[in-house]
Amino acid sequence: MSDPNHEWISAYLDDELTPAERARGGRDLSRQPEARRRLGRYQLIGDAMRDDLPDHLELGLAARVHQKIVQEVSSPPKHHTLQELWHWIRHPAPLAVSTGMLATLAAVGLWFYTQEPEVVPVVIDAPIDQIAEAPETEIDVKERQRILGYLAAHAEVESRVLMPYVQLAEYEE
Amino acid sequence: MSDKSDRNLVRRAKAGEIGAFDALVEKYQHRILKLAGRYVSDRTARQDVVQEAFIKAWRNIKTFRGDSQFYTWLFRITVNTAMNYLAAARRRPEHTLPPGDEEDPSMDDMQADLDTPEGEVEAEEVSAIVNEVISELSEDLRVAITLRELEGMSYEQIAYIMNCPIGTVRSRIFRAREAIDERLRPILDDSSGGRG
Repeated sequence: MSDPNHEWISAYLDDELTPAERARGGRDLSRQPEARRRLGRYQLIGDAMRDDLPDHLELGLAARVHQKIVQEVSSPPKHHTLQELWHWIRHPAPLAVSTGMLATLAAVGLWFYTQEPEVVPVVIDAPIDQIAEAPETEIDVKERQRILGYLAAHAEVESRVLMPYVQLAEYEE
Repeated sequence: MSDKSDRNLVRRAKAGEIGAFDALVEKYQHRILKLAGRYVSDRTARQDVVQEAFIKAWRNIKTFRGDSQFYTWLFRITVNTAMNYLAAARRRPEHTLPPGDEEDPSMDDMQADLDTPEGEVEAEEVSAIVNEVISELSEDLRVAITLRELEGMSYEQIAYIMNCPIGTVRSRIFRAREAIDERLRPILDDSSGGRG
């Protein structure tokens, strides 16, 4: 901001800027390390006045957090590092428990898979003449007609006593 | 509380501006350190907890919806981190493991891979300087900064009480802070290895 005496930082801390000033202030704080440190010191003054400070101030803390974040942004942490793998190898108890659970699940699954379904006989208590017949469907009727037609044709051939191909052979002679 | 200003910085941090998040760290580091001190007595461990809390806040800043104030959100992260630290400390065997063999590497990595100069200053020393400078301020500046910091009044309320324009209040509070900061800065800079 154009304010050379940093009065805006004081007003920014107190939430006493217009929206436009606040937007510029946020931008400048984001870009200017010295402005950020001044903001931190102004806050520190208020905390000291309110007797709201820890016993010891750790002055390198903000710089260390910044450094760590920069490291993370430049090289995001890997989810499966060699260190984690080594941890699993060195501490086998969790690995053993996980493996045991998986093996148990696999065994139970295999047992269920290989079991043949049990056939349970159906007992009908009612007398046979009291069991209602299922109504005939259209498909049943067609099927019955087809079978009756086949039987009729078969009976016609049988009525000649001899099989058709034998009859033909005799005819040729 | 400077909620609107914090929201502005949070919005920028969400967009990936590390500097905006740094401003929030600068602002809240001492209060968060004090909060962690209620749970973790060891000073080195306390620093690690605070550092990890800020790192977690950065990693999850995009999930912060703004339903609460940023400080409230950060407060909760810090308490959770401190509780996790205590739980992990209870699980650890009493003997000290050699470096690199710790159960939970996340905490220990923090200190190991950073070489920022350590610096600390007694809070009592800071408070003494602040009170001394305030007592030396002109009455206008002293009343303005006191109404702001101790009573939490807005500039408009202070202007009404002091019977002056809001711009004058803004200037008086700033000048009071600058006068204190001028005396504090050498101590803070020396202790932090000249980083400021």
